[in-house]
Amino acid sequence: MERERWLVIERLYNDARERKGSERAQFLAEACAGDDSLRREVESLLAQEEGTGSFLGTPAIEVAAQVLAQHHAQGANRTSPDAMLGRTVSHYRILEKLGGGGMGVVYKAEDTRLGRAVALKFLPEAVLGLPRPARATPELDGSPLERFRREARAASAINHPNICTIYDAGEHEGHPFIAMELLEGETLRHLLLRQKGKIEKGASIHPRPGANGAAPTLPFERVLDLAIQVAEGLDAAHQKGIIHRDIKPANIFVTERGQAKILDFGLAKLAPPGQGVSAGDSGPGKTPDGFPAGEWVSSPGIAVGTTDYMSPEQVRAEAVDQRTDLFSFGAVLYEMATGRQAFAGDSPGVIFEAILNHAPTPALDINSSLPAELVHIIDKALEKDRQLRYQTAADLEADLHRLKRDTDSGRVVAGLRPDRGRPQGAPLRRVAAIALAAAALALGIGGVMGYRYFRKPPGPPMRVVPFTTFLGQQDEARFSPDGNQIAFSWDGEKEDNWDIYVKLIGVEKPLRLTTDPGEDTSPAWSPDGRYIAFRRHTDSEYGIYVVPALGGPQRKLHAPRTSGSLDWSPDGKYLAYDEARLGQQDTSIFLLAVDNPEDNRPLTTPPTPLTRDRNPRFSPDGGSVAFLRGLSTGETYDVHVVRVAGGEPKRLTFGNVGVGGLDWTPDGAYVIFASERLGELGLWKVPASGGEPEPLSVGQAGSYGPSLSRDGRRLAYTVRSYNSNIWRYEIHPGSRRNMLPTKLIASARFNLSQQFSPDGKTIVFCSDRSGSTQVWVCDSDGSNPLQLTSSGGGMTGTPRWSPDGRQIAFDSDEEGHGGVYLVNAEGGRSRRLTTATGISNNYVPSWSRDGKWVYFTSDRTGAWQVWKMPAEGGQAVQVTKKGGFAAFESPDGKTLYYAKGRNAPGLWRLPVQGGEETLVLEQLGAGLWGYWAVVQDGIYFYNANTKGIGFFNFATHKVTEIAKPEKAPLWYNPGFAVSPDDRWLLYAESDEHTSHIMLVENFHL
Amino acid sequence: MTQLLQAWCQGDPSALEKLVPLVYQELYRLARRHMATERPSHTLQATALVHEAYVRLVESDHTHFKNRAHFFAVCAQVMRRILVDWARAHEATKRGGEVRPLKLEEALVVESKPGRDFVALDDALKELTALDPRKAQVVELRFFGGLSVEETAEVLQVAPVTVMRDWNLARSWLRRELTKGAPGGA
Repeated sequence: MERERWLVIERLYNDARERKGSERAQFLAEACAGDDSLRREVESLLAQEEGTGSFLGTPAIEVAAQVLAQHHAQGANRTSPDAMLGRTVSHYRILEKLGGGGMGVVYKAEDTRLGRAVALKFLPEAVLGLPRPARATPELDGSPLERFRREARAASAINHPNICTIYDAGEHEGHPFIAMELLEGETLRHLLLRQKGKIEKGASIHPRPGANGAAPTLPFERVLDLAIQVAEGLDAAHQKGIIHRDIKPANIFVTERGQAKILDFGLAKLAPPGQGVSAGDSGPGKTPDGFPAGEWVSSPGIAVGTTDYMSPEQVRAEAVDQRTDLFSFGAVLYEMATGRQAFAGDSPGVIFEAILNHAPTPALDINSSLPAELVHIIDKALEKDRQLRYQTAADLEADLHRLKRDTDSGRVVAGLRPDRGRPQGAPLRRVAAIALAAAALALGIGGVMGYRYFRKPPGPPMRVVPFTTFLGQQDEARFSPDGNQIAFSWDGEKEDNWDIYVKLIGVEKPLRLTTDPGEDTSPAWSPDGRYIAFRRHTDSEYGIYVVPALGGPQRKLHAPRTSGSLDWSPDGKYLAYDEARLGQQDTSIFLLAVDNPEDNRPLTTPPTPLTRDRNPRFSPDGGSVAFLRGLSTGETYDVHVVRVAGGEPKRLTFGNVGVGGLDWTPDGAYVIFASERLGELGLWKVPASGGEPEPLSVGQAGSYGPSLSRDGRRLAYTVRSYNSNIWRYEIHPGSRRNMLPTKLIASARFNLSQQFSPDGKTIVFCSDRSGSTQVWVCDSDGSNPLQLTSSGGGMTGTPRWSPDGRQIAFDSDEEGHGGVYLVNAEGGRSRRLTTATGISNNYVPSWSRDGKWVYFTSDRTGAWQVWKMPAEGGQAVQVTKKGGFAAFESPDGKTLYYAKGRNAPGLWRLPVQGGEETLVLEQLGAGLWGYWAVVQDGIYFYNANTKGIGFFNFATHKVTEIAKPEKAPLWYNPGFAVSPDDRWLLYAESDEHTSHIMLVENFHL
Repeated sequence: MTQLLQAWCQGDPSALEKLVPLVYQELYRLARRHMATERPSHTLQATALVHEAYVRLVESDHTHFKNRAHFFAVCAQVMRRILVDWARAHEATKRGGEVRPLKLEEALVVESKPGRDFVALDDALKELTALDPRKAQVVELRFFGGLSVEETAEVLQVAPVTVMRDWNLARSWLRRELTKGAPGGA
């Protein structure tokens, strides 16, 4: 077609469309002036007019999605709802259909066991059956059905007159259902709609509701009465730690007797994020004629049905808590009082925008008869900042009760405006809102609202990618404030020097910020992103330093007494760090004023001399610090939170297991931490207000050191891999030099804690090759490994032969704290030797040369001391008084050698018969209590200063270096043994110890 | 995603392949909403959802597009390519599978009015492009891109009323072309 002709057609088409009927025909006849083909062309296009109304009106992807959904529905061959009538499901006979909605179909049924009528609600499988991210520990999560049951059971635990009781949860042919209290009445949604309808019908009699006119509302007394009931129900559930998450009129049932019942408690949690569960009215009740349940859904429900009453934190996809329910309840209360939705709009976008940024039209402007106090209550419940909102349902309930009392006594007169006015929310145009958000996104304007408002959960699936894959160990990831860079510590390409590095996400090469030969660790960004604070530990000092994030001169702020970790407060004014107190073992969290480092004070006071408070992390609002508290004797910690303003820390976890780092979610609702609750370190979350920890769906199997970006959309953590093996050195008699090692005992992961049998033919050692650390034996050449113990959990280690070679003593954490056990060298059941004394730990056994005593190290007095007890069992006797750790008798049985602590340098000795202790070998480094062996004429040990194996000669008091192992020892672990004939030396070394930082994109809880 | 879009803009054909799973993912997400509700969608709302889908697709702190109009235009183009290909593949599987063939018409039918499948629409759009490129682009932006009239106007640098006119004529034209020879068609 020619361009000109098409333009004519277009003009005629447009002009004709502005005319109707005969006028149009006349116009066309004149305009086409006898050109019939032109006229036919235009008319054929105009003829489409009627049909084009919605033609292509639905976006393509939505059309495709509908096709898919229909396809699925056809393929699924579902049981028809009506076919259910008369059938028996479990022990429920289905009597009649009550309604159906987004949440599923509800039937009236008879519980044939108890003979009572119940409501049976079938949940659509789509609500539950969505694929979830794979987990390393699937057994935890279980099937969606399992999860559903668990949630339903939790919800069924709430027994309250204002909560619809859940009796039972089960499944029928794969369709999960819940049995609940059968109610007679209608949902609040119906009630409000009916109320509205009544007024609207009588529009000719009553004035139409205007800006200041009366809106169609429930009587004030009724509003107050229902509100109090709902608040009571919420309070009961919240006290059990159950949050509704989807409070809205459709989820509040009003019985015929006027009782309010909250429906579907706990079930919203089941829905895939972003989908409310009970979209339509699907309540377990009969509703009056004309309002069949489930039919009053103005939209597909899941989006509109839930978004209208969402809280700002839900819109932002942040963690929810009980205050979330209070906001939603506030929106319901507003609607009850004014007859209008607090937040309304044509699309979720508009509603989200309103929820996040605009106060609803002041309630008094709509209904001027409201008491000011009720308006005040509504406003407080609708505070967008949860800190300013009602904190508990009980507070809200109390205010409502007070208002009721005052109303009843006539003290409150309705219609008084509250003093404080609120600016009316600017009218919104849908397009403007969408465009704003889209523009913010597309142009990269980092407006938080801009991109967050679309970020309903769950967003795109989480994506886990390696962030660093360098040689050596990268650890302690911390996001820059803008979330685009990560600062971390790295021991470098040569794995010999810890320094601070910064790397942009998506860029391979890191920027090295420090080069000091000391250990630079614990990076922490200043909130403006310009500086990074870190801790330094050299041979001569401990320090807290600050360096520009782009590199530059370093400035020392403070010299703490120990190494540790570090965090920078959100207001930039303080650093939090952990430090042992002077002359003590206990460790506290300290605050340091950045501008005035002299101003540093302890934030926590450890309750016992052995308590260690570590890993401080400021809450996003800066008001609290989360930290780990544990005993210096063990390696178990639990998450605590303390207010910066002071006060007692609150304990959040009760795991008594190893914990590796923590961070806050940006809304401050959760603390993410790494825990060994399942054996291996993995990431968990725990509500900052207290509650059950739950594992995250990412970051399992050896992950620790979590760090969240400020917007919460990125998570970084460290994954460690390690491999330690036992090497054998032949000690040339006489020379003790030039020993060449062979790898004797090797497998993936740990092999350590080796000891020769008294006859030298067998080696006992520990390995986690079977999944957990257990005691193994093998021949002296490393062959024929055989697992000897299979304890239930925790570390099992330091096996030591009895002098007669028939028994092996070892320690194990399997009962939750360290105990010493004995097992026959041939295997069999092990038996505990040490008796339980509270939660004290008893570790590192060894035998007296006569076989009558077993030495061990215990913290039962509050400090590590060497003890001994008869091998046959009996009373334990304290041996050392000034500290002792990991004792061995000399071959002649006259002297006891021991280290001073897990992390104290030096080797000491004490006559077995009693006497004063003396320092024998100061060269034994701290943390190397497991790297020495006493023989007839001296001591073999690992010399950290020379990184070699030395021999200390008793006669000459000289140290000779006899070997230079390639790799480092296993600090804080045992890994050294010499054969009885003084020919072989076994050295456990860390052949591989790497850690890498992983990055999770699109992170959400 | 943004980088992929850019790459595709710059003529990297493999970028489109990489985009496909992302679009599919959104498609399935939207489909699951329907499965959960078993209700026909409300158009206005669907538009918002699709917006959301796009936003998800390009989630990124910073994009490198010249402007958002450019970005939307590319988005719509990509969606068209992927969805038309998807429809083709869908038809192909249906022919081979046991599932009752589901005509795309059934889905394009909104309020019982006829429509045509993506492939036919795509072909018709190509013809319209030859006749009047801007009108075809209006359809691409609105139908495949899910843009509002105002947004489309911004992309095309014309007045919204012009977009509205283009939209009406284009739909009339397309509908006529697509129902030609069909029973009940004009």
